[in-house]
Amino acid sequence: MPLLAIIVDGIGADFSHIFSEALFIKSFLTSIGLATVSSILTVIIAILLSDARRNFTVKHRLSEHKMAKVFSIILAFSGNLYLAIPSLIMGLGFFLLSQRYEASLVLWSIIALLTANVLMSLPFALSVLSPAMQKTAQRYDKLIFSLNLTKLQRWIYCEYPYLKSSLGYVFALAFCFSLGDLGIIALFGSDDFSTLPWYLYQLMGSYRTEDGAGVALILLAIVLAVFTLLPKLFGGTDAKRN
Amino acid sequence: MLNVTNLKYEYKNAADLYQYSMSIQAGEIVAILGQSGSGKSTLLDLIAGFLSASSGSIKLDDRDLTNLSVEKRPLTILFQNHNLFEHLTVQKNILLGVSKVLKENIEDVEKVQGILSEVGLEKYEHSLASTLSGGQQQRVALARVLMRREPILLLDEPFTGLDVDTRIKMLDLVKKITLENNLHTIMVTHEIQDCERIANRVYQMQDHILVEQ
Repeated sequence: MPLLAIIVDGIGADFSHIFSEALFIKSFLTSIGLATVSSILTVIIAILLSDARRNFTVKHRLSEHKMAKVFSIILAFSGNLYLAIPSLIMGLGFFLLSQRYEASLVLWSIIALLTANVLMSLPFALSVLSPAMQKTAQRYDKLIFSLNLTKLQRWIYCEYPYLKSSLGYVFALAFCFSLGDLGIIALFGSDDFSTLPWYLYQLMGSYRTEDGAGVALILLAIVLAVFTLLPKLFGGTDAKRN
Repeated sequence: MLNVTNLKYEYKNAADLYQYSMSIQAGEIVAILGQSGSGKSTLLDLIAGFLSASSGSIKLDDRDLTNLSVEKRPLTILFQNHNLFEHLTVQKNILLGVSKVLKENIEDVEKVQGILSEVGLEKYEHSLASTLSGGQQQRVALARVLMRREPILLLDEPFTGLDVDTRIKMLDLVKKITLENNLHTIMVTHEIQDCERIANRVYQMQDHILVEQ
């Protein structure tokens, strides 16, 4: 119902007016840019954490490293840490840091938003990638070791073909989380630095509900397009496992 | 000659100590019999370097393999499944045995064609591995053994689940490959018929100790 309300009201919005507003264009570009960088960082960090966790699992299984199980648990916990911390608290932390260490507020805003977006998406990214990478390892580790494949070759011939749609899904998820987040930007947003959710919040605050519905519809359309198209861009379905 | 001498392994969560001693001549097939969980595959994992022995040695002629990492050991392994990357073609799966870049070197490609005709799969060179039957997949994996030409061949119940005719063909192929290439072949199985068909000697796991029959 809420989505239907946005669609019904949003369609009636004056889009030519919305698109002609400089602050909308600025917010749109900032949101897309931040979401793209956040998604790339999330995917890379999730892959590295999942790979490290898998290596510790293998070492634990082979008894090669006494602390391997502990490291594996720490890695799993660290990825989920953000779930326990409200984004507003993290935002306030960054805001205090920006007061203490003088630098451009825009720079602090970018750092804060990227950090929060990545941390927010990471638990979900890990919950998708980590089991998939463990499964690949269980099936192909011995073959990979016996063929003497390097990490890069392992990635090209084994991991990526089996994980590509999962990677696309994780990328899309991180992109959408980032695009819609209003936690950190609520503290850092200004006319100099704004995102679409912050812009939307400003529109609603000034009773421009019709324009707000139009912007919300644009956000909704981007999210739907990203979720539909990004996994396909990554290569469709994962390679078949017999 | 491949010598496994007083090789011992203890799983960290179990009190059982596995002990292995055996020797294999070049061109010989040795079968290891035993129930599931008796420690047969553990021996292959130790020889391959997937597990580290607590004591003992593995030597190929004068070369000590005991502390070598997996990739430095001169061997090829065939598992019960997951011997191939299903999304790659037959040709690429075999080429992975020798070339990690998968650039199609004409010499290697011709070699693959020759080897595929040896295992009767010349028509499937450009087929995806996922489209082959279980028996055909194992034949492709055997073709990679021929491509690699490593002196030790480890078979971890690779023909389990195949129909009788295919199984016999595969066993005969292993025998042929072993003799023609002077391989040291160790085959883990729980099928006594497999041993009777191709093994020169048979060892059995008895109370976690490898004993020659």
